[in-house]
Amino acid sequence: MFDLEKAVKEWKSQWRRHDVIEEGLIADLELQLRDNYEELKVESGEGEETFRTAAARLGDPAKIAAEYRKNRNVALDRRRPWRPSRFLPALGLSYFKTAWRKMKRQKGYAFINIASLAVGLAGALFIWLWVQDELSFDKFHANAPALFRVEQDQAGGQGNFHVYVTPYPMGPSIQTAIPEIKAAIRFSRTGSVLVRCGEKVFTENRIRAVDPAFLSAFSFPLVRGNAAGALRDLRSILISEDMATKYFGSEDPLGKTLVLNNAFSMSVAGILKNGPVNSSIEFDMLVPFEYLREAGIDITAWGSNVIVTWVQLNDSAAAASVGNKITAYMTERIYDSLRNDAQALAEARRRRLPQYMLMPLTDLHLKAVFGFGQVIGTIQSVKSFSVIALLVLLIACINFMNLATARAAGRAKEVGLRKVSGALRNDIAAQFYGESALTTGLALAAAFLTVVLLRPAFNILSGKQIPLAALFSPAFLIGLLAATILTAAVAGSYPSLLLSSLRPAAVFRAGAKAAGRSPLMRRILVTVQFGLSITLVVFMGIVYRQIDFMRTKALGFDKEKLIYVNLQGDTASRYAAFKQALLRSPLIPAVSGTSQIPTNISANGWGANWEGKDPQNRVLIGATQADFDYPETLGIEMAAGRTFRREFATDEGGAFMVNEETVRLMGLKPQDAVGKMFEFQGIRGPIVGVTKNYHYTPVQNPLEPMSVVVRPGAVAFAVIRLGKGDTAEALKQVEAAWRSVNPKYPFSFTFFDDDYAQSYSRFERMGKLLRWFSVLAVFIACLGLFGLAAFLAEQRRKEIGIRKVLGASEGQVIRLLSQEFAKWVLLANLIAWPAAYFASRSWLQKFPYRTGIPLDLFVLAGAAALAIALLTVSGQAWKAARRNPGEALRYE
Amino acid sequence: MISKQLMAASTRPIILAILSRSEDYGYRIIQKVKSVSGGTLEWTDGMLYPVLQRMEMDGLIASQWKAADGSRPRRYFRITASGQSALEAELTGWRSVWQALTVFSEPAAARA
Repeated sequence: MFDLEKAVKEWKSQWRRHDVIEEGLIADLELQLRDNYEELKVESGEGEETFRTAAARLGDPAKIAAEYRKNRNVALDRRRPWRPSRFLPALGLSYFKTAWRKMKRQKGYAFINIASLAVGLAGALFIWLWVQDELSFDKFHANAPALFRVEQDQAGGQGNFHVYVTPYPMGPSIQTAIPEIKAAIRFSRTGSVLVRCGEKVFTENRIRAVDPAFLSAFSFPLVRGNAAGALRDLRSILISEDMATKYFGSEDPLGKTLVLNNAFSMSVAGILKNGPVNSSIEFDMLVPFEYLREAGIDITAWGSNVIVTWVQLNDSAAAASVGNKITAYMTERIYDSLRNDAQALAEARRRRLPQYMLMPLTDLHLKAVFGFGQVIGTIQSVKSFSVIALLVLLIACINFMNLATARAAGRAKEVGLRKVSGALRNDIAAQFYGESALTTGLALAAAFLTVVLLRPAFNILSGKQIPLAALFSPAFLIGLLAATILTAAVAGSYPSLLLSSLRPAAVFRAGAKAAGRSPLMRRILVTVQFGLSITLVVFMGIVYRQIDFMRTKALGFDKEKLIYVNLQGDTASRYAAFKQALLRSPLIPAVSGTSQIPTNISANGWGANWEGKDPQNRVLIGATQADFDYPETLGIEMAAGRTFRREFATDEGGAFMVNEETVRLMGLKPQDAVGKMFEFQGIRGPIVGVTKNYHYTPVQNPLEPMSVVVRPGAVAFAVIRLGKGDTAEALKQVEAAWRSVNPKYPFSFTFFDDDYAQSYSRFERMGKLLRWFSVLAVFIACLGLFGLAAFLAEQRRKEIGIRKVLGASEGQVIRLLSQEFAKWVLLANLIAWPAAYFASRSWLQKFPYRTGIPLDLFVLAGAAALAIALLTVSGQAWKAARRNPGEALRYE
Repeated sequence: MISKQLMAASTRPIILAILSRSEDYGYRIIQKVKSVSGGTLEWTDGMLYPVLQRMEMDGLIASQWKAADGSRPRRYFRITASGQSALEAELTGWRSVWQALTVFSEPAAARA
């Protein structure tokens, strides 16, 4: 049976496929169809056939749709004259003119706006430069993604201890065993080496011994010489351009000889381009790895972790699995080495052996970790400073918002008139965004100029070497653009939303007063501004306190008038003679020595054993090899027992002195530990004394258990106590003693003091940067406050006049105007204090020895902010209070 | 049959002319054209509607939905003042064309 309604429905869906044919038009066509059908059915009767004829008479939907489309295009064409293009509003020029006139008429406000934005932007740009530099570390290697440092986690009673040194022979072995490793490169320091070139003699601390593959894996190009052959000849040396100039001046160094430690003649085989500053791998000279063997080191020994091993992978994605393979390989190696010792093997199988992992070269600078989870990488600073940059920028944006809305009163009528003339809300918003963009643009130009001019100063402050070219790098320019757009958008948001919401009728009726009245929002903004500034100031204060704390913390020994001398080359063998010569001087009361730099003893090991030790509990203990008189020379106090004495034959290499931390780990009291048998690093003997804890590394490192044994033969650094008398004279005598014993070596020494101070320089730098940014933040906030105060004083001119006429004193007027701001700033303290507290606490977390968070600092910062704010405001208030009321009221 | 071009040119004046007599709706406009021309003016029914829309956009005609009692609601078109004057202009034009055609299609001798 033919269903007409169903057929019509289907027919309609045919037409709906064309978007131009709207429902109303389909209704027209449907009526036509139905009329046609009625007409036809009289002749041909009802049915599908008739319906089809009726439908056919209407024609092809596609063709008709085309006709409708023509109509629509005509309609769109006709609308064009009323639709200005979106990209260039017809009133653009008018907006620009208005903004320009406003700026010219109110130069003061314009200056404050532009200056605070410029200062904020400049600050943010500097931080961006710094951050970029931090992020750029080690990215310059062509193979960077495929390069990794082999690191390991050692498990023990105190937790995982993370180190990035490996045994000497590991590199070549894992390269053979693991096919994913394209190249393994051994990389070793060589200590401080005396380098002689004819008459020129210098001590070099940055000579590295590396495998030949170092040059192909890393991008350290040679400017002279052949990279392929370099480092293969045992007696070859590569030097940097700087070194070439230092030793050879303008001569050609190739083929010339440098003598290391008065013993090894090395031929200069190539000149390395000076390495980029943003490199974690630093060196001045490279020697073949085998040089270490020549220098008397057993480079086949697996026993301890000493050198860095780099690997270049065939596929960087395999890093995790290669780490596991190294772990498996090393574990098997340990089992294999113990196969003749069933008990040791069983013990090794029971415990967790070191787990190896690969650290990407490109993450090294930011994310490196050492020891029991100490973060050495700078990622935290990068994050903190990025946040600070945004905060400073935000403070600057708030200035703009505040001043723009405060001055909204002056713009209300303009907005009203524009709206009456047909401007939509969006048009007004666009206008004010445009103004903010104009201001930001001008500020940006000023900021960029500032950054260009102050770059050298910033480099000194931050310890960076950022080249001028960095200001024109794409990444920096993109950051610049982003900062500008962000600033313009944030700064323009509130004024444009506020002003575009004004209602013309209300504006004209109430006059200027109704508009621009948003004291609550403005109050909040000023509070936020000061809150952020105070937070920064408090945080900066904490950083300084911590640095001060570290600098003045009692180290457990007397670091004043204490020096050490590096015994280079074969001078170590004459240590005893040197000591004797020194002690002849009345100005030198004590001399001792250590095997490592005495201000940074890093050797440690897991194998310690003692009477009554739980065999399951493995602990990591530091190892100092020293001469007799070690505690006496340093001034380390004893907690129990005695120090080493020559009278006891076993004291040399057969007895221990440990610190309190070790005793604590043993679960004993100091006096009970004395006399207990102790076994560590192949030595077995009694504990003869317990020292109080002393810092044998900088204070930012945790104090760990330490053991001392006497081994005069291992001494590589002489530690010399200078007496009470004249330091300069004492040093002369030290030098004389040196010259008498080591005539072929130049004399150099280091104060303990300087070493420790040096180790805090990183934090000092951070403190300095922070100080500047806090000053910036406060300055910008005050600039804004100044503008706001000026404006409010102006607005209340009549009120002040009337008050004065009625007998108010100048003081009362000043108080009236200052009071309000004081309230905001006090409120800001309430917000800032907790924020600063938590920020400081989390920053201090990383220091094992840290200052408390002192309350007075908070009060001080708050009071200072209040004082600065009041000073800023009262100038304006004073001006307003001094004004002759007659002037204010006259024109009424 | 008449040419497509002539169809296109004449559609608007014919519609205007029809509507100048009385308001009407789409189906009936088509019916009227057919009955008068005896089938020589054959429009595709659907094509009328875009033309009506365009004429309405141009302000020559106006439309309104109306429902005569009992029957379906329909959209009635009526001529506007500007449609009226457009019709006058069209008629003047068509008359001159017609005149010219008449003159030139008469036998030459009769003219002389």
